[in-house]
Amino acid sequence: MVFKQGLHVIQKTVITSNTAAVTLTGIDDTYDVYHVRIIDAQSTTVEPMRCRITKSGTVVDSDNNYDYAWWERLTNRASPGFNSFNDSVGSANAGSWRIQHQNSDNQAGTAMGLNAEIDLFNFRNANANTQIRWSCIFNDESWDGISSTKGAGGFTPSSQSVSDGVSFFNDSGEFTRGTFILYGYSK
Amino acid sequence: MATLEELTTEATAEIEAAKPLYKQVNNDKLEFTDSDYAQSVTDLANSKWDAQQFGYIQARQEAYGSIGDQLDMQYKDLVDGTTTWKDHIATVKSDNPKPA
Repeated sequence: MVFKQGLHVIQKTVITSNTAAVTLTGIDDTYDVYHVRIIDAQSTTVEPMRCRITKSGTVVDSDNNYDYAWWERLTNRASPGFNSFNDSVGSANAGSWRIQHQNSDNQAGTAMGLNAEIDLFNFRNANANTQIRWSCIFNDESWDGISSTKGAGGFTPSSQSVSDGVSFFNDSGEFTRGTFILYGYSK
Repeated sequence: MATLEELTTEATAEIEAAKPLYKQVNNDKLEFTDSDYAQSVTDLANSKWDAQQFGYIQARQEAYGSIGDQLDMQYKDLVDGTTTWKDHIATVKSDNPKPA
């Protein structure tokens, strides 16, 4: 008998050597809501981290199906900076959710990696938008301070199929360390 | 100003130089497939294109400063008859030009 109360680890990936992408699969009908926790992720570059869904274990890059908006706060600004972005407008790189904010964001500093909490909704409903909501904190070298990004996004299904995982990567470069865990919330 | 095709060529060279690349799928470490490599070239080229075409937007937003600081500039300009705020905005725009 499976005891389904609480938060259950579905997959756990620990980066021990350079890895360009991290994929976590195993999202099925067991749980209603899934969650990803990223702990101390570091990379070789200062590029933004992005996320895509997987279908049947295959990463989906489908331009114009990924939409999102986010805002950021930088602790060393006298007045916190607010921002928003919709990747379906004006950007060539519309086939993913951008977890970190544009351009100068980075987690490349050695002192502190990126930590994130990400909720995944509707991954098993082929007729509704797959939804993602995230909150992450990292050291922003360009501002020499702590940066926080909160965002939400949706994937508009172009065909009747469900999603079974997520994949993380940087615009360029590789992850050098970090722990990526996929959880399922009990029904 | 580079075209997307030129940036794709640049991205292809960078990915070739970075090979082999690996992905970690459910903690199994695997080398990129041909499809993964092709996708990474597309992603890198698009990233370069975005930075070139739209990087000025965030650069301007960061350089403008907070709304509060700008209102303070405008108030002082009204009181003192100066053009600090207008000059500041003009400088930010000229320092971070919109691509042609």
